[in-house]
Amino acid sequence: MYTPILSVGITADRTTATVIDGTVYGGSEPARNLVLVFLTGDKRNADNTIASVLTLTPNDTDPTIVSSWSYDYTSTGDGWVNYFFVIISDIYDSGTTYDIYDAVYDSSTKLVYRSKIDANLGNVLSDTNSWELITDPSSLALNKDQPNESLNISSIVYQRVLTFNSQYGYGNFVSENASGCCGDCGDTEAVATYSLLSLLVNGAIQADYQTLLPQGQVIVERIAGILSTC
Amino acid sequence: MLEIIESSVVYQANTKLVELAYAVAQERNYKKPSVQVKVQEGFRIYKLLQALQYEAYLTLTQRQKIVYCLIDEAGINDFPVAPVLGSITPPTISVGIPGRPGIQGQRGEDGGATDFSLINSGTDSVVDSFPPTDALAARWDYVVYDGSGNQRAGSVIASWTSDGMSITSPAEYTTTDLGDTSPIQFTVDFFGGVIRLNAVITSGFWTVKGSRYFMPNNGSGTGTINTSLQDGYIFIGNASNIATAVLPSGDITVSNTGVFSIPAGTIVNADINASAGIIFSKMAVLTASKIAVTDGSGFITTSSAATLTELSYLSGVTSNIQTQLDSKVGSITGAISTVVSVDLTPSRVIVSNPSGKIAISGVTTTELSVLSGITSSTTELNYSTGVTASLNDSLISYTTSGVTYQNTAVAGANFGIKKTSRNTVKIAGILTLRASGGYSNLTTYTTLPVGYRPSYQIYKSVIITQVGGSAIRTAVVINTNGTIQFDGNADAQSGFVCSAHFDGLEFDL
Repeated sequence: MYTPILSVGITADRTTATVIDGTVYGGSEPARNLVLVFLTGDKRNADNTIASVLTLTPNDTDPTIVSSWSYDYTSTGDGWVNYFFVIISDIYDSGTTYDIYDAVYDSSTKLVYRSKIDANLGNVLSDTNSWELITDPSSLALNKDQPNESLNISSIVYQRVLTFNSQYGYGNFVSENASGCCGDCGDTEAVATYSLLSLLVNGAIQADYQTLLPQGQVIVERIAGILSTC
Repeated sequence: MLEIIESSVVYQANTKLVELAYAVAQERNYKKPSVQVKVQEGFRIYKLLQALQYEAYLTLTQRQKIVYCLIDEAGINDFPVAPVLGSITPPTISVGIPGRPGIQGQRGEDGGATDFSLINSGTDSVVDSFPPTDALAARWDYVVYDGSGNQRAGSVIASWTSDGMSITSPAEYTTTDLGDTSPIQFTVDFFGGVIRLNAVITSGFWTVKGSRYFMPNNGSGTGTINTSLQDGYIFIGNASNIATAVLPSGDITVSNTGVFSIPAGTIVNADINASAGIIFSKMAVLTASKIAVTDGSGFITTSSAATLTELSYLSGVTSNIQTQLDSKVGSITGAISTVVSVDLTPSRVIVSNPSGKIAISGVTTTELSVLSGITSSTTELNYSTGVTASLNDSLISYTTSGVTYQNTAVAGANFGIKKTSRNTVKIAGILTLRASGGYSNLTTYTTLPVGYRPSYQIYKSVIITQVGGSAIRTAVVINTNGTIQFDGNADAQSGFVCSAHFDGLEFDL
């Protein structure tokens, strides 16, 4: 099994976010070109409803190649995002016995199937009594630690509170108000806003570290509101 | 008693920071005093947390003061403390202040290796030895050095038979020298019932240390490759040099019995080597001994237009045949030279001209066709010699005058007239007559054609014989109007056949 490792980066102009697969492949496990990797993602509201689905590129038809995905950050912005990441490493083998919920892929079609029964041996993938086609393999990540978890796959629901715009806005605010204010700033209004933003931005960053997602979402929404009026 | 742990305090202080930020974020008016209190509280907590990040410059006492302040500011003591349970799952974050690193353990035994050494030796020495039955090969990894900074490392590999009697020349791989280590070299030999690694020292004093690895080293291997393979798959090494089950694909197929085959329609022109040199006997057989040509689709087929024999006539041809034929026609000098490039007048009989060339005559094909079916002999045709008018005109025409004459006698060869070269008319032959009713006057019975009539009346003697009757000598009179009359005594009895003998009757015109 692999240990999925993801990270999120941002371009300098904060227009494009990139999700990078840092998982180590090979070694005792199959090499990268022998496994299928799937990633989807969505932006969440504070109440955990889906605000938008991320449009990731490349949406490659060959999941044995891609190792990073990008999406438009100007439309999604800061806040709570979920990335559903799945690695399918088992190529279907008619001589292998599969447990229920085990996921395999067809080496020729790159399609993913999940076993519907225990002791699944020698049943072809087209046997709908034994296998079900998984059209969105990344959705299998949602089953992690659930009774229907696919134990032969590696997956993660990578959850983040992204604060790229908040951090920039905070720094920019301080920079703007630092002009002409060298060592003895008497702008109490700006200092108060600075203190407020300091609390909110650092609170959002900590919410990201501690995966306090709803709180983080509320905080970044508030930061965006303050920055838009200051 | 809850043990105070810095990392735990930091984590909980950060959580407090999130709580404060969350509370403030939910407020719409951040100028409210209650909000300002939270902002200031969060600000202080953040600054304390920030100060702890300078741990490299802080003493333990200083850090403890900050931690206690954080506990106070963040209200960490207000947090409920979970009871200590023996079976509780350890938290994923570090707890407790790490202790000092433990004492480093002794070096573990090198896997499968036997150490050897030679200390400060200035003479040839046996460095390592063992019975040849211990292994069939060994590798000695070593380092040699003296006290003057000369040093190298290397490996010596050698193999031998189980009785040690045959031994390979050792292979040696070394680092480059630090200084000069050439005075010490290694050899491997079999002596005294043991395999020996010998250090041959030509100068200086050297120390050798190393480890010996047997080959084989009692390893049991990893067993055979897993023989389980999905139906129809083959094992093939992937880019990571790992045998991988793959379903064969591409131009050829292989069955699960190992039979490779090429499906119909797979091979295309590009698959054939340009130098394949495929012989024609591998092609489909066509009709034997025929000329190969291409059909309307461009495929090779046989031709029925010419035979191989006909084709062989082209053997020896060295230039354009048509040109040769044209040149032949232009050089013809024989009989057909007059018709090489011109047509003849239509429907004329071809003859040879005075030069022996083909020419047309004045006779038309219609006129020639008159000869069709002719059976007359030359003798018969010669009877017309001298005839200058219609043959019908030359025939004797009859007058009846009460007597019917047998006309066959007239058409026969027994009677005729002709002009002679002397410009006379000669009548010869026998004229057979038959009287038809009683005695009749045989006076005028024929008229000569124009041109055959005398210019004055002629009397000639003629004998008439009649069958069953007596011969009658009488005279014949040929008038200038061509009538031939007999004398008045030439009556013939009715029903009797009479023959008038004109023998050489000739008169001048």
